[in-house]
Amino acid sequence: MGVHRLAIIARKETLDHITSKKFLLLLLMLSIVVGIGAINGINDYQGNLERYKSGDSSNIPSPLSIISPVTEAIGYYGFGAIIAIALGFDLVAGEKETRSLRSLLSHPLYRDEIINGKAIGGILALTIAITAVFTLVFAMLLIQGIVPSLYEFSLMLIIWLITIVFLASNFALALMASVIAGTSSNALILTLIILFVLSFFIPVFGAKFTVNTMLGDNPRDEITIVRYYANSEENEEYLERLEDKQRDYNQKESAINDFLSLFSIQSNYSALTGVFAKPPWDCIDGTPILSFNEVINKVWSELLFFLLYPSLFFGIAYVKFMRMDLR
Amino acid sequence: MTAERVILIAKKEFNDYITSRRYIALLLMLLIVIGASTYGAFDAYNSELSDYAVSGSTVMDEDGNINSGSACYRPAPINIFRGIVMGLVSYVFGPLIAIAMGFDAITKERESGSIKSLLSHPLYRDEVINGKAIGGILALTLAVTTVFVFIVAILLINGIVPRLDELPGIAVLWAISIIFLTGCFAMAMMTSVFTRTSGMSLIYALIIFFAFAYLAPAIAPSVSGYILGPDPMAEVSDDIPYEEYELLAEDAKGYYTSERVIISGVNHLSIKHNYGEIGRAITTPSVYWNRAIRGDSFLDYAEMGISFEDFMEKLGSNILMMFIYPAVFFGISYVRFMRIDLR
Repeated sequence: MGVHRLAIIARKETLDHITSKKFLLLLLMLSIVVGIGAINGINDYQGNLERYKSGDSSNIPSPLSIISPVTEAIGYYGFGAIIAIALGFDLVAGEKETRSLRSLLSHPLYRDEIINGKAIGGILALTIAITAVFTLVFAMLLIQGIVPSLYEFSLMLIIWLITIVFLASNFALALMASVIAGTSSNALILTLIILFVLSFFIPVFGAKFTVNTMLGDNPRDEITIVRYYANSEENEEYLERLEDKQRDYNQKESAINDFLSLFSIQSNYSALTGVFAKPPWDCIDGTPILSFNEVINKVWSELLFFLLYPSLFFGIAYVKFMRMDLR
Repeated sequence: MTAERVILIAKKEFNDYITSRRYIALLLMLLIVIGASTYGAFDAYNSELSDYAVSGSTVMDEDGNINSGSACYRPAPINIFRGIVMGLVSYVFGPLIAIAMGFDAITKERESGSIKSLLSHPLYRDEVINGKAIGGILALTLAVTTVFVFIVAILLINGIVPRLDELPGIAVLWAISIIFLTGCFAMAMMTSVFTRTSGMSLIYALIIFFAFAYLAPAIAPSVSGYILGPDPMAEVSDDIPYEEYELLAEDAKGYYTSERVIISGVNHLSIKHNYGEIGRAITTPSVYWNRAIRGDSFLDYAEMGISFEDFMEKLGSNILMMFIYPAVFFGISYVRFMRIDLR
């Protein structure tokens, strides 16, 4: 693999992405959605500031609470995933469909340069998009006269970085589907199905199923009835036992839910950004000063899965592409 | 246009859809999504039933305390159908079946070049697009019917039998669900007529879906804030005289009314919101129709006596919007397809 050839491909891919109509449309959409999120966040912030000034509330709002609706638009509402998937899904399948892959590979370069160059190019284009929308949000803050401190600014940079990794995961997923599937529309459907499995089937359906099979019925309903009719010593004892059982049940249930939601890229993203950019109602005493250890202790498992996905998806895409039969 | 040729195309399209692997996979996805949310609704039904079981009578225990249960209404089997509404509204994966059926309706034929040979046969373009639309809607009807049969079967296995007077509600929900998915299908078909490749068509369809589904509810508060200005009650301090406070409260009442009107007007733009409103009104009537006094009194769904007029008065505009979506999207794709240059 030559760095020089890799750089040429990455540069060409980035330019192709950022000059395409698709990219500009998606960026426009993302800016509108993020802009609306930021306006809502600024309104909340200023309302909270008014309340703090008039003494109704003792909580100083943090400028980072404005970022929280922004990350929500990118993560929870899925607009970030769409832009990343739209850039990735036809990278290989599209070249296969138009047969330009053969002429590309007849040039003196290796396959790994192509796939790495495509990945780097896509991630650079996504970085440009995210930097653009974050600059937009920052400009809106400054226009409104909200100037974050240096510490808050560095937290925003961390959120920016996490957002890029989030988009890169979705991009790598689409790239992998693009290598596996024959046509680009099948690649897109495959991407959505994998997203379905990761963000719904395992964390929501799987969690319900696991809770039901492993833990059995929730003692909640029995408690309601027993508590109502409880009138003897014996019943009270039974009720106490049931309540213990309920506590145990709830603990196990939330452990299962927490573990299975690690599989969802989006909920890991929300958990990671939630540590830094808290929603407005959670910002007590301004921006909390966090130590590195504190953060790692809180979200180490989320971080692990969050970083695992892009490497896993890209690894599969790489290996598959290297061995693909392209006749 | 003759009905015979339209039916021929619709039949062929319908068969193509329901025998494709993609349709089966997406139907399975739909069943999983709706199954999971119905499980939640079923769970809620059971716990409400156990609340209800102990709230039927008020009893005094030996200490003289009066105990009454925590239920505020009697759950009905139709409450469980809320799972269908939640499943279709909460995740993109439910409507995805409709989007996935429509997005390559035209682009696929253009990409493979089969549209040219298709149009060289003695038939008109409007027969092609109408036949494709009818075939797709029939396949969606089959999917929704499968979901409803699946849910009813699970209810029957668990010994819950919907009452006879709930059947009209279930039938309306079935029809509204089909119209909701038809709106998504028509939208995807429209992007399919406008773009050259299937991949781009799907991307645009997803963008339009997200824009229509999520953008309207997200911008509604900003829109009303922009039009109406700040909340008059926001700057009330404790030491103003009572008369002034009265005036302010009067102002605020008008302000909140107009705020509600604007927010609900903007929300009407979202097809998902309209479907959700109608669905909630049908499946959880006790909560929906008494939102203001929820929990204040004991409500029995069966004896609430909501007439057809009440229903139309409150939800007529939502129902109208539900029909406007497929009509507008399909109209645009029809006109565009008739005029498209297919060389």
